[in-house]
Amino acid sequence: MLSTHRFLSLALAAVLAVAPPTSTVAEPTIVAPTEPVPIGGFADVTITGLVDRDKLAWLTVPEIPVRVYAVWGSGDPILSVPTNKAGTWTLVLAFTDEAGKPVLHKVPLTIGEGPPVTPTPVDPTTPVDPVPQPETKVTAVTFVYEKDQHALPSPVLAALNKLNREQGILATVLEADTTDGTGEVPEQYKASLAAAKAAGLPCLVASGAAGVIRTVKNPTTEAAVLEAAK
Amino acid sequence: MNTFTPINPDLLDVVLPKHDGYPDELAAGDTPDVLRDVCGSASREFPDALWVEPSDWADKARENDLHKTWPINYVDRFTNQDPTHECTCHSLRAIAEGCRNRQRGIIFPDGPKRGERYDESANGSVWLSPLSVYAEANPGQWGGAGIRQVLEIALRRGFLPEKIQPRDYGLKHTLQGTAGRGNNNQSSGPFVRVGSFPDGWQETGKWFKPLEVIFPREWEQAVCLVLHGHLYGVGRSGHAVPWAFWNHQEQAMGYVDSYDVIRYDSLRTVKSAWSGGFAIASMTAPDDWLRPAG
Repeated sequence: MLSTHRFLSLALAAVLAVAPPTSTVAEPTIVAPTEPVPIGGFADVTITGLVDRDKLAWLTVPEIPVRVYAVWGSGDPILSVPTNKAGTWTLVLAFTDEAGKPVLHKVPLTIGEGPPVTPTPVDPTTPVDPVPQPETKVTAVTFVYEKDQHALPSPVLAALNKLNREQGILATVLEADTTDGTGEVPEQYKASLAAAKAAGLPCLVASGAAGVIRTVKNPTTEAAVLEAAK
Repeated sequence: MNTFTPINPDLLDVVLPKHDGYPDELAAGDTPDVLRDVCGSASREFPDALWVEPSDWADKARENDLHKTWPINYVDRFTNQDPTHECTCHSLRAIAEGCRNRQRGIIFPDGPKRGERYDESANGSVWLSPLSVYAEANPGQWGGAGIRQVLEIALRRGFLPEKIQPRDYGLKHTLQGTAGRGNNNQSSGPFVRVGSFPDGWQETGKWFKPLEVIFPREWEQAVCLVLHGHLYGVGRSGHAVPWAFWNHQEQAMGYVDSYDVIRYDSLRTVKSAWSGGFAIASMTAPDDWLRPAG
């Protein structure tokens, strides 16, 4: 006798094998908890939209028991995942929509302590959008130095010019005691100045939209500056 | 850029027919001690980190040629004061603008070009009005001004930007650059007293002030400042100019003259003129380079 997990895997494959991807019907929507569910209850998974219950298959990875509600209506819970064990699972749902188009959804579920998760619908006939990457694009580079102790290396100045002209990166030089017209540290340099002082001067600070990305102590070559700006 | 080239003798040690703003009686008052006192807490000694052994000057000059990191490579325009007595202020504006552009990090590979304008100037270069300082240094318009006077004024309340800019920076207060000829990158207009400056002008001027001024104690230190990218202002023979590059082959200083032209001072002139000179180490920096006056 097949295990439940094996049965569901076969059912899932059967569902995925039906009907060509030609649907123009709106996709059914899977709604599952995006925040970790406390241990002790059930995490309900809801499907809205047209669903043929007989063509729904599901499985969890890794395998955990899944309860199926007897009565389905649009917007009502259809599945319930027990939360007596902490961890992160993926609930895989496969069904066909009204037009017979196979639809596959992967729903992450976190039970107990864990980071919030976002459901990622996956349609085997449509490319999936890439997961957003952390903001690491360098938009500004600042060479911070102390005038009485450091000279500005010519290759570094040339590199800053190259970043300005060729890459559109705001590449500038800051003497550590420089102020703006009000006598304060210029707003655009507050974070980079602090980072440079913490690292030790002279220092190159690469920053992006979210703030300081990296510091490079005492660069003296054009290559070192260009590398820091990548 | 190649600074190891012969110099046209017509451009070397040029003495104007008469002073154009730095007469002997004013020059006599610009002693090193007086200049340091005038700058007060902004005065700085020559940093040891900038010393270059004279035996290494040629190598440093070649490095500057290769990377275009001479002071002149941070000056993106000429000015023209003819026939006024504004020379000390034209020299000071070049030094201030060059320092500021160096902070901005954009190199102008051929220095100032007569009749032309760099597209890159629009990325943060602000053109300052020499007249905005001269008007206070000499309300009588004719007779010139001492270096000590114009330095003190610039340190205290800064320059006003001039009416011609490489882009619209949203400047609330501007003033014509000169009462002289001007050019495509410098506006010209009547002489104006400080009392006739635009209302509230101090709120803009404070964004364009020198912060630190270096005074060397030897002529070799003055050359080192230029080798390290600092424009060096001097007054001699009735005229004030900013030294902008060292021609090692000819042992002469090239300078951006306020007549739309590059000229040169010989080593003999360098050794006699350096002591009344200065370099600006840093200028006020904006919170946003494209909104330079806030």
